Formats: sequence, C-alpha cells, structure tokens
Amino acid sequence: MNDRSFTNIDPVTFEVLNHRLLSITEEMGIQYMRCSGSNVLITGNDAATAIMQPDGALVSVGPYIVTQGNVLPLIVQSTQRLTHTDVGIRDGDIFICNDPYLGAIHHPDFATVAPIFHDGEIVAWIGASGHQLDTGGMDPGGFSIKAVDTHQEGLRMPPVKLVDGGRVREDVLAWILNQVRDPLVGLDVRGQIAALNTGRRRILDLIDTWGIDAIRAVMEGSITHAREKLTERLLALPDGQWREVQYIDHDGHNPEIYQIVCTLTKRGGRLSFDFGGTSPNARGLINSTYSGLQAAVLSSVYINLCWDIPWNRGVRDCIDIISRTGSVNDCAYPAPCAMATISAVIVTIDATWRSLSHMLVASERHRDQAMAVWSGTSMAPIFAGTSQHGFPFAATEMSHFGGGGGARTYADGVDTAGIVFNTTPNMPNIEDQEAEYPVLYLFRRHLQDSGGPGRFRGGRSGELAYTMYRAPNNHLEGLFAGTGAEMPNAIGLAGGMPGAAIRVARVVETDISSRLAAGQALPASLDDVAGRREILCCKHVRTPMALGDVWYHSWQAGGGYGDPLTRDAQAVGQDLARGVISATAARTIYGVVADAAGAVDAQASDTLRATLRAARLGRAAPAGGDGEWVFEGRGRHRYGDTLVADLDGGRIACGQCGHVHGKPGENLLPRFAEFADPLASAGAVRGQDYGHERFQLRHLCCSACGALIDVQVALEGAPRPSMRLSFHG
Amino acid sequence: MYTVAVDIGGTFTDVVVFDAANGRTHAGKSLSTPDDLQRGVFDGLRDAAAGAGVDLTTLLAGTDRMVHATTQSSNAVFAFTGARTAVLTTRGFADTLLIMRATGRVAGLSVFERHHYRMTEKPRLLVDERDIFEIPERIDALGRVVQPLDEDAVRRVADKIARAGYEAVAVAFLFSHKNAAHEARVAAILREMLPEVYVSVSSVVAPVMGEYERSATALFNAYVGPVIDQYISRLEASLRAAGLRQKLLIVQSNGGVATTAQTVPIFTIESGPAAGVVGAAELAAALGLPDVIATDVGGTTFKVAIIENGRWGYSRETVLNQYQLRLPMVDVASIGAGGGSIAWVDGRRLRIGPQSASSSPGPACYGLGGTEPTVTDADLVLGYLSPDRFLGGRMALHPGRAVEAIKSRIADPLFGGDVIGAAAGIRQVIDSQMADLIRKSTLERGHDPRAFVMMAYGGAGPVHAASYGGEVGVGEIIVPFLATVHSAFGAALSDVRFSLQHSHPLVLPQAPDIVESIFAAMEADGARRLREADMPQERHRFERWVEARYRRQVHHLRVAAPALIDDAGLKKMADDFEHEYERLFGRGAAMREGGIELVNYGVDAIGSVTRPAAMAGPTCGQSAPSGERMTFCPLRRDMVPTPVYDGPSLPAGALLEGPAIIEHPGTTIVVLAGQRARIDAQRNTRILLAAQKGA
Repeated sequence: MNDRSFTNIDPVTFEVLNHRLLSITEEMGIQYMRCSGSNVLITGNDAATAIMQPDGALVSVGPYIVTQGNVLPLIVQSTQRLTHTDVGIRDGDIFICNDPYLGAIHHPDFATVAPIFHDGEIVAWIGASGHQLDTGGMDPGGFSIKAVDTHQEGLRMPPVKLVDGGRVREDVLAWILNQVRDPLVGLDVRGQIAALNTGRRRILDLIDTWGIDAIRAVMEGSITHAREKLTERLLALPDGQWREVQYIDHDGHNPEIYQIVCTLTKRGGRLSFDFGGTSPNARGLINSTYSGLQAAVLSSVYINLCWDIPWNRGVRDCIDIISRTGSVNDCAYPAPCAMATISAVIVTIDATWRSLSHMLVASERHRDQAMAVWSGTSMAPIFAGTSQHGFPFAATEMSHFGGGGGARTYADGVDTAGIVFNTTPNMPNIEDQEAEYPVLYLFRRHLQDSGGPGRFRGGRSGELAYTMYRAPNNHLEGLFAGTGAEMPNAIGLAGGMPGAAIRVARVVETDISSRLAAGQALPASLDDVAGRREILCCKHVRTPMALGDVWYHSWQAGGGYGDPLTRDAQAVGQDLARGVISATAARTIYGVVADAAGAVDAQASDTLRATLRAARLGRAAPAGGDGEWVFEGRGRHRYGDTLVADLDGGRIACGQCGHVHGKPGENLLPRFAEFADPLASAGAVRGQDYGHERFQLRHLCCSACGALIDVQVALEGAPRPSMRLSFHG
Repeated sequence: MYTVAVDIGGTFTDVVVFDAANGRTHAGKSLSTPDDLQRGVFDGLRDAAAGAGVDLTTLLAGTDRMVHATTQSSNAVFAFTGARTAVLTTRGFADTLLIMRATGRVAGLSVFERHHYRMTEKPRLLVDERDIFEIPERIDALGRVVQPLDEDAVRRVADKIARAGYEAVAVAFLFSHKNAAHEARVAAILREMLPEVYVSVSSVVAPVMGEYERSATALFNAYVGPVIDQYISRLEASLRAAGLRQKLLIVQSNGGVATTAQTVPIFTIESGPAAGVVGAAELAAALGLPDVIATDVGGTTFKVAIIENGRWGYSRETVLNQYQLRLPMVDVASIGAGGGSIAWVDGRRLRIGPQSASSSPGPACYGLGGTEPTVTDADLVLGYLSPDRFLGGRMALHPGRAVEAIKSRIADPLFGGDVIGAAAGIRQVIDSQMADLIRKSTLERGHDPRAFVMMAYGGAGPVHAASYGGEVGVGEIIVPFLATVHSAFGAALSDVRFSLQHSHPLVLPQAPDIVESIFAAMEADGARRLREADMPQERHRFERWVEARYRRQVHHLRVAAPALIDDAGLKKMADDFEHEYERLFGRGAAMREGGIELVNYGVDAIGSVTRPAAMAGPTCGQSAPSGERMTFCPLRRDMVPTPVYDGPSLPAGALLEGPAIIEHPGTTIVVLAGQRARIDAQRNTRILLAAQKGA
C-alpha cells in the first residue's frame, strides 16, 4: 500500500500538490481568523483548519492550535456515524459539532466539517475549529467551576447540519445564538463557513486541474511519508519503558489531587502510551474525554519527534494509546470537562513530554532535540461585566499565553515562549485590553526566579495585576480556572528543577481608589499594593470585584536542564544583574557568590558549591520505593551529563565523578542517594503560598559526589517515575 | 538636467541617470562596499557618468534631482552595529520589549520553522533589563493622565544614561498615541541634558495603538538613528563637495522620498525593494496597466507585491529580526526561495529549501566548493543560464559541477539517474512554491491573479517568470528593460511622500466634522512637510485611508477615504467598508449589529515629481538570434535547440516565438514554448502567454 501511493505519483507532482494543500489549509485559517471577533481566537490563535481523507484521516493541518487540529478527524467520523439518513450528507453541506464525547476537546471549541464531493462521491473532508467566547452554561466564558455534569456546561451539539447544500440554515444559527451569551459567536461560526467555502472551492479547482487520482495519491502519499519518516526515526532511538506522573490540583469542588500516570513503551518503530494508574473521573470540570487524550499524545509526539515530519495521520499510525474510560483523561459521560484543554489535556502533554525527553536525552544522535517540560499548564482568568462601551462581555486574560519554554540540553529555555499547544504564541497588548475593557493594569512583567533552575535554566513566565477602572456601575466579576498552583508541572530534566507554579491572588481594602483620585503613584508590584492579600484557589468561582481591588496572577515557567550547581557561574551572574534570578537563588540554588552587578567571586562560588553538594549527601539516604532505573543492551551511551552507561564494559557510572553506580540490567535506584526538600527549594512560587505541603521535591543524586540525576515533584503514595533503557547496540 | 538615482544592494550598487536633454537613460553598476557604502556609490556614479559621456562633477552639477536608496539601516540591524541604546518605559512595564508579546519567538518564521519548537528563539536582544528604565507616569486608554510624569525621576535616569555612555534613547510610554505630552516632555528633558544622545520618541515614530509594536519601532529607530543620521549627512556633504547643488533625497520604506533632514532613520529600512515596487507601478502606469503583480527573485528570497489600480498596499506589520514594528512600509510578501535554495531528498520526497547556499561557497556551479545542488544549478543544467554570461559575465559557471551535484544528490536517489528530469523537477517545485505565494497574495485581497499582468525583475526573476507566471495563469509578463537596476529606476521616479497615521477609535454614527478634523490636521501636517521638501502647493496631493472594523472584531480592513468627510462622505466611507468586507469574506460574514468602528486614519501627503519622458528605443537593430543552445522544454519534457538573442541589441517591435532565450547583461529572459515575446517601444520585453487553466 505504501509503495502504491508513491508510485502513483511522481515526486515533482507530489511536491507541487502537497504544497498547495498546505497553502489551502493556511488560507482557510487566515480567512477564518480575519472574520472572527474573538480575542481568544485571534490573540491566542486558538483555532485549527484541516484537510482530511474520506474516512477523516488527517492530511494537512494549519499552523494554529496543535491540539484542535487533531479533533477534526473525530468530528468527521462522528458526523458519518451519527447523521441520520433522512438528514443525509450531501454536496455543499457543512456540519457543526462541539460535543466532547463526539470529538471536540471541550464545549467552547466549535468544529465545522464539510464533505467534498467529486462525481457524486466524497473524496475529502475539510474542517475548521475555533474556541468560542461563550457556550451558555452556568458561568460566562465557558468554564463553569461548579458543574458536576456536562449538561451544566452549556450548549452541546452533536453533528448538526449548519449549511444545507450551500445554504446557511439560519434557524440552526439562531438556535445556537439563543444558547450563548455573546452574539460574537455568530460571527465566528460564519467565519468558519467562509473558510470552508474557500477551502472547498480551492480543492475543487485542484481536482479540476490535476485530476482526482493525483489528489488522492498526494493525500495518501503525504500520510505515508510521515509514517515512514517517524518509523525510521523511532528505529534510531533506544527502546525502553518510561513512567511519568503528573498532577492536577483541585477539581472545582474540593482541593483533591488527581494523578495522570503515563507509561511509554517504545519498541522498534512503535510508541505505546499506557495511562493505567491514572485517577478516576473528577467530580468537576478538569476531566478530558478521549478526544483530548489523543490530542495530547499527538501534540507531544509532533513537537518532540516530528519537527520535520508532517503532522498528520501517518504519525498516529505509529502510536498505540491505552486508557480506561472513566479516568480523568478519558472521562465517562456525563463527567464535566470544560477545562480539559487547560487541565487534563495539557497535564497529559507534560507527562508524555517528559517520557519522550528521557528517550531523547539517552540518544547521542538526538540529545539536542530534548527539552524539559514547557509551561506545564495554561489557564482561563476571566473577568466579566459591562464594558465602558456599554457592551456586556466575558473576557479571558490571555497574557499567560507567554508561558516559559523548557530548557534545552545546550541552552536556556526561551522566556515567555508560549504554551506548547500553540505553534504561534500571542499575548495581547495592554493597550488593546484597556481600550476594550474597563480595567487598568498596574504591571505586567517577567516573574523573577520563575525559570526552572538548571545547568540550563528554564524560560521565565510572567505576572500581572489589574484593577477595575471606570466600569459602568463599578461592577465587574472575576472567575479563575487554572491548574498547577499547589505544585509546578514544568518538571526539569536530567537534574534540572521545575519552573514556577501558578499563583492567583487579590488584594482587597486597598488605597488604589484614593491614589487614582489624587493622581498619586500606583503600586508596581504585588508587594507594593497596600491592603489585605488573599491567595485564591486556582478554581475560583465567580465573585464580584470591588472598586480598588487588585487582581493578580502569574503563570507557569519552563523546567530546567542539568544540575544547577554546574551552571556557568558567569551566566548566573548575568541572570542576577538582569534580575532574572534573585540574590537568594544565586546563592542557595546555583551556589554562586556575586554582587548585584553580576561580578562573580569564583573562589567563593567553588567553595559554596562544594558545601552545597556535601550538604545534599548529608541529608540523603539510599533511594527507595517502587520504580526502577535500568540500562541494558550494548554499546556506550550517555544519559545527559549525569550518567555514562558503558554496557559493553559492564558498568554505569556518574557522569560527573565517575563513581560506578552498578551493572547493566541492574536496578540502579537503590544505588542512588535520595533526599526530599520543600518545593520552595526550587525558588519562589512553587506552590508554597497554598500551604497544603502535600508535595515535595524528590532529588536523586550520585551517592559519591552529590550531583543531581533527577529532580521529581513527588506526592506521598503516588507511583514514582521509572525508566528502563534497552540499547540495541 | 539629470535625474540620478542610486540603489545599494547586497552585491551591487546600481545607478540610473535620466538625461532630460535627450530623453536617454544610462545605467551604472559597481560592487557594493559594505565597509564604507559611500565608496560604492561614487564608483557607480562614475560608471553612469561615463555612460552619459560626462565626468562626475558635470553630472552632479547638472543634477536637479538626486535620489538614494540605502541598505545602511538594514546593515546596522542585521549586523548588530547600531547604537548603544537605552529605553524609558512606563513604570510596571519595563519588560514589554523582552516579552515581545511571546510572538517574538516565531515572528517572521515559516510554518516549518515554527514546527521545530526546539530551534526557535527570541532574537538577539537590542536592549535587556539593564538598559531599560521605568518612569513613574500613566495615561489611560482615552488619553487622560492617571498619574503625572515624575520629572525628577526622568532627570535621575538621564544622569545614569549619561554616565553609562548610551548613544541613543528610545522613549515609549503606554497610550502615548492618545496623549503624547509625557513623551514630549521627557524628550525635551533628555535633549536638554544629553545633547549628544539621539532621542527617538514612540508617539512621533509610530503614533498608533499597540505598545509593543510602537516601542519596538521607537527602539529600532534609536538603534539605527545615529548611524543613519551620520551616514546620510556625510554622503550629502561628499556629494555637495563633488558638485551636487540640490538636496539629497532619501528613499523611504513607504515608496516615497524625503530630504535627509526629514528622514526618520528606521523608515529607510528595506527601501530598495520598496523602490522596486514603485518602479513596477510607474512602468505599468506608463503602459496603461493598472493591476500588476510585481515579482523579484533574488539569491535567497522571492518577493511579491500587488499593485491594484496603480497603488501598492502598506504592510500592517514589519518584522525585523523577529521584532514586530509598525512602519509605513510597502507591502512585500516573501518566502525563502531563490537561486540559492538547496534541493534535497527527504524520504522519497524531493524538497527544495528553506536552506539556501549563501554567496560563498554558493551553488555547486560557482565552483567555490559548494556541493549541494541549488536552483541556479538546475537552471544551468537546463540551459536557461549561460556558463559565461552569468552576472554580466562577472562570474564563470561550471556546468560539470552542477550536473555532478544534481546527479549524486537528486537524480540517482529519485529519478533513476536522469539529471535533466531531476533538474526540471527542482525547477518545477520551486516555481510552484513561488506561484503559491503569488496566489496567496492575490487571493487574500480577494482578487483573481489571472486578471493581473506580472512584472519580473531582479537577477533571477526573468529566468523563472515564464514558469511561475504560467502556473498562476497571467496573460502577460513584462520584463523591464532596466530589470537589473529596477530599484534605482523606481527610486528615480519616486514622489516625495509622507505616510501619516493616527489612532482614534470612533463608533459610527459620528458627526462628520469630527472625522474630517482628524484628516484635516494630518493633511496640514503633511503640507508643511511637503513645503519643507521644496514641494510647491500645486504639486501637493493627499490620499486618505481609514482602517475600520465591525465593532468588537479584532481585525481591521483598510479602505480609501473621501477627500472631504461630510454626511455624504462619511456614508460613502461606511458603504465602501461594508462593500469591501463582503467582497473579501462573502455575504453574511459580518455582524453589523455592533456597528462600524473607525480605528486608524491615514494620509499619504504626496509631492508629485515630473516623470522623465518615456524614451523610445531604436527601431533598428539586430533581431536575428545571435546563437543557439539546448534548453529544456517543459512541453516536450526534453532538451530542444533554442535560439539565443542579444537583449540590448533587440529593436523595438521585434517579435520572438518561444522557446527563446534573451540575454541581457545581468539577467536572462526565458521564453517557453507556446509563449511569444515582443519588444515594446520602451524596449521592455513583453511575454504573452496562452490562456492557462487553474488559479
């Protein structure tokens, strides 16, 4: 089958048509986005467009939200399965669906799909999907914190015919608009219709010019190419099994912790992701359906392994996903799941990401490609009310789309790099926000010490604060839907530490109003705001904002790579001089003695670093618990800077001091030293403000020199990260 | 009297001289001298003077209009040789230029580059935390002062800047486009305390909403400010010393010119390509053709600009080193596809680019050690390029090296060893990528490319235009007679032009006089600038535009605005917007209930220059082929004997049947089988294509 698809078409025609299909996907996206009015959609590029085969197999996807493109095939399949014969699927039809149990990731993502007919037969599908400002439901903005089933989350459409033979069904559109608070939703839906009409015309033109056989062959060839290339890449990577654990804090009702356990098995050209051990359905909105789970796995694989491979069905062909319906990332109807994208989905990406990073770090050829986890979560800080222009609104503050990038094995992570599922990150200008909404920002800046410490530091995240400003009747309401406040999710790699968690706060009973009235200086940091500070739950129900209240949040940064005590001292000095890290972090985490201008005292730093290493060993005990850490097979390999596995020589040694930990095939875990520190030891805003103290930072280090091997975010009773690497020579 | 234009490019400095006395045109060329650009300018001027039969002093003394397009600002930006710069921001927002709205990680990158997350970075920073100073002050969205400017704080920062030895300062406060008072006051204090330091003010350079882009524009202007100021004043002094009596005019990125004193330094960025678009528009206008697709194929990039009804568009955003700026800049779309693009095998796929062989070692056929096959190698193997006439004979090409590279890397793995088939494949893939960009650029504006004529210039444009033009289905391709010095040609014809803009959101309905007063104020400002550029009133012309949106929509649409906004004018503006919206997005894609909001207003204040009379070429000359060589025929999929013509000696009126090769110094025009070429009265080559299907 693979051969047939490529011999049916010469490489030149393939290349020409493949480029055209990509251009069409992009053009559909441009068309959609330009029509839309939604700041979430445009600022966040929170949309997707795709071209698919008749069975829904993804061929080409636009450069927007990675996760959304992956759901369009499921929507096509649901449309084919569920459309009643009386309704029928005909030329010129467009179907709309946002049911998370039928393909969407969560309710706000409305997806539209259209069949393309040629000679009376469906030859392709095209689709567009985008995040809507409101879906009805209990709370404005689509995130109903107190929902206990999906019916409370608002409009949930099975595949419904929205355009019938080229004519928009205004009754269906009117019905949709009747269910949502924001009439802009109508504009977005029409934008999708315009995009699909354009895409359909372009593809029909292509068929007209090149013939249907050529178009079929190029669609199949594009998928085959991706499958072959990923298979080849996987064959060059070590086999093995990795277990990772990640957490979601708070389900909207209770401060419960949910765990997502991912066991990745890689053998030859296949990847298998098994989510056994994952917590059951949550009571509240943090769940994700299978659509979200699959999108998460694919996003992780695309980014970590398919940087030069088309993101299409060919990638999915190399992957098995094993999950149990009824768990937090494969929930069972009618579990609520409005927050899926920014809780179960992104946390599943984090868990799968670190498994893949471990695989890459162990490969000489592909070590450069490994990255620590990026900003581990996303959020929806929503403020709603009536704007200074007289419009009712529910706005999502999108600045957190500048999450920190994960550190690389040769360089720091990128500051305010973006959220991983977004190929084109975008934060709003303050001026756009204030011109549109009745708020005044006090500051927005990089968050100090947020980047995960390491030999290479994680990218920084940011923090911001705003206050209500000239709102009609001085009334606004705030709601917060976030994850990762009690613990960070951007875990480091190969001894690197986690980046910052999120933090949500408000300060009440402030002097802001009197300062504004008197034209006095406004505070420019959270600590400067006079008043009573409240740390808010990361799932904060809708509450009124009072005049003068200051609302604050910060988001997650990137994880670090390598032991921070091995970071170049001059680089630490630079970070200090730039304010990237605090003086405390420079000394206690990096072990560098430097003045405020960044001038390093090399000798004092060496001494301090030696002291800190010794102190690690002083409080360490042999590592224990479940899990394993095994190297087997042939050859000589490095695991980052931390371990050298001379399998032919029969020993695995410390990459720093050469101390021999053990033999091939042996579980090395008990040979490592282990100690636990509070999360705060990785820096400010690692969850300490929430006071639950359920998590700790578990450090694995060399029992001889104290060099860090792995730093884990640990919860009592949860499974441990684990790995078994099998080198095939 | 002479009109003289000088355009500095990466490799060559081009000069065009129009001699009004006899209606003749002379071109000059010299190698660019990046270490001291002025040297190349004088070399080129001497070359052109020699062509005109006069010495440099006579040429300059007889020049009534001297126009210059420079790469100096681009050089400073891309080689990081600009000024040591400090930035003053509103307290609480120092990191705006470091956060870069997060988009800074990927701005300007292709989809493929964006997919490789690990490789993406924010650009090398022009300023970091240590160079950015927060000033207590705050203005709100309506321009009201929330917190007064702390002038003592400004003075303290000015002292620090003096002590630290900064050469330039950018001032960029929140909402300065609504109320510039704080920025103006800070600028006054800085200029008084730091007279040697260049001061760039965001509300002056980019008075538009969006603090990141406005700040970035002010930053880049500060960064190149001292360099450009010094460069153009030195050049003007040298030219005057050498005999020039007129003010030197500098080409701006909006496609117009301004005096040296009026030049906002960052507005000179990418002014050469802008002048090329002006040249295309001017030439098309002279030929009576309103709608043109202007294309330019260089070594690494393919550039497209769309001219509608004689006018070029302005880009919404300019990306420089991944910073996003707001400049009045001619809209030129580009992709990384050019003569240097490298062909490679990816699985069983034939891929071209985005990697490109730089000029050294360059394509394999340069014989400078390059071993990877490029588009230029394919062009040589297919016979389109002559081994001994490349770059006007300045560089010999090595066909054997090209064949070897294509055979081993492409033909053997994918084409069963067929080198010609492989080379033809490379060419078809790159040409179709270019065609896709042309399609995207026209379709995005709601046009059908088949309704346009195409213009092709630059070294490799005429080599490929017959293919990509054929693929998008244009009926005619024009290769200007001065194709290889096309930007200098355009510069010579550029009007004095100031692109002024202003942000002031207004939801309709509004009293017309409010809107009219916005335009009137800009026009008064524009008229003043035109007078400063010695443009008399009768040559003033104003083009108005407005950017509007449906209320609460994020995106704007730009439409022309009437010359007078009264009740009828305002209604026409609203109607034009709705009409344009429907044309672009289709019926029903608008939510009219919210109403139309006017957001940004613009005036192009234009001082029209007298165009040199079109010169007619000789009607006699050699219209027979000068030789013959084998070239690839895409119809027959084989090498066929092809006549080769000497371009400069082809007379006006000559008619050639494709396949044919027309060789000019510096470029080669390929005419394919089924196409015909005619040399028009101005000796431009007009390629006529049979109607093609598909767009």
